[in-house]
Amino acid sequence: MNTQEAAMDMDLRRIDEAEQWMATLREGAMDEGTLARWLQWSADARNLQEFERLQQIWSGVGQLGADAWGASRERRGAGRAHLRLALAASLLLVVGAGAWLAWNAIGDPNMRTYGTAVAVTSDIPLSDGSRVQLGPVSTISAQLTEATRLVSLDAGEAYFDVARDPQRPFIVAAGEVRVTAIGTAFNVHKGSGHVRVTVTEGAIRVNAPGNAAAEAKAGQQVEYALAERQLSVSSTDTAVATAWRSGVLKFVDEPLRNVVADLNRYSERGIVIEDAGLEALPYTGTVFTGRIDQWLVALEDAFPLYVEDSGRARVRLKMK
Amino acid sequence: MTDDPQSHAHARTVAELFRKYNRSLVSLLAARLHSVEEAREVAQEAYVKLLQLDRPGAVSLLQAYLFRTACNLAVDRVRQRSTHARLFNEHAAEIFDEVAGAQEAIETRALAGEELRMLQTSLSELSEKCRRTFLLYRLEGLEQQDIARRVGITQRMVRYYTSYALKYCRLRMGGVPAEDTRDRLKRITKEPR
Repeated sequence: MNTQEAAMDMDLRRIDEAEQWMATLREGAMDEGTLARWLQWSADARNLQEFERLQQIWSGVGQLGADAWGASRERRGAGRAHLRLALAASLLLVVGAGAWLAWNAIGDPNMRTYGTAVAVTSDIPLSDGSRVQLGPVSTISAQLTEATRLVSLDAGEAYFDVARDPQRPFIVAAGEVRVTAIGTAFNVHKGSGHVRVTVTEGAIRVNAPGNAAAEAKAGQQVEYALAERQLSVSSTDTAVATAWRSGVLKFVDEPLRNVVADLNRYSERGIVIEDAGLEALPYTGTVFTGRIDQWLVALEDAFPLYVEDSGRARVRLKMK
Repeated sequence: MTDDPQSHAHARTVAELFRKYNRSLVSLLAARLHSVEEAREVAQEAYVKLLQLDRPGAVSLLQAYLFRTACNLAVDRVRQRSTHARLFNEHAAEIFDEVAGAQEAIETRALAGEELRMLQTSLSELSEKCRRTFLLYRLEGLEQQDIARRVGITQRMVRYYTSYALKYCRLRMGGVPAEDTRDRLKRITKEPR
């Protein structure tokens, strides 16, 4: 490294320190230790000057205000949702039986489809004032008309905060199950073998094939098992089902295959259960969606398995 | 304040503190208050409080007292401001954006026309996610966890992006070419995995 580069790195380090100080002073508690360290650091005039320079740019962004968004301005509030009409049409074909005929309006201009990628969640405001928080690798199609509000959860998981409108029922279809909201907020999780609806506010009614129906209110959960085609209602801690909204996944006695299926919506690297004997192991615990690798390490202590991580696209869970 | 020699001596001490620490104090306050103008006002209040002390102690104690007082005053100010902000939000959320913008504009030593354009260019060179994270933080004042949820990234990435964006703009505005800036920032910060 030559002298010039060394000098540049020194400046760079100062910029980095100044930025860290800005963050600390902005948000950290001002205890005596912090104050003392700040006085020491800012006693160097070059440090202080760099700090003021960053402060000036920070203020400059405030001066720019809305202009700072530039070309991306119109994307504000729209989240990462994007239109996938073609996909919606093909998914809708699967739905079209009996009570689901309403969904056959393919190509309807009122239809909007939103999807998310791996590890991405998205807030979607609907035109009626309802809000949908879409989990990762999830797709919904929304069709809002004067008479009804229909949303189909085609894949994954979503939390619905429904705007009150007694004249227009809000209906969520998830596979074979249909959830009718009665002024309410609830979470719908569509797994490979089940649909699970958790009510956090108000009440809902769930319909499934064969005239099966169930009602549930805040604090309750309705589970539909695809194999048995049965609905069951139980009391639940709704915080477990909605924890994903704050970046945490919580499980209570959940079969490992379901846990892994959920985590795979958050992890760029797929997790694969190699031995069928592991699939049904009940898991209870918390997973931070940003720390799935650490969770895998801890899993080896909890279960008779080992994690084969060759650093490639897949991580394999094998029986010990 | 009485006109005795002791109080004169005290005033001199405060003046000395001002000369020595004012920039450091105003910088600290500006970071907390997001406004250099308000930082100066709060600092001034703190000096007045210091002058009004009945039994001033040693200089080193006074210095700690000055910073402590100023920090407390800043906290009060932020509290008052947030009450205002809430009222504004309830009544006219869209107007508030403009008001906030206008308040920022009265900051002293503000960036001038050409500099602002350069800043805008620098921001536009950032990745969409990075820019969005930074602006949600800086302009919308969202909490890190809310930004993480909205952008679909971890809280650690929120911190990384906000830090990266500011440093990126700093280097670009210091005349470093875009590619060079990216290379240099890579040297000091690693993207969290």
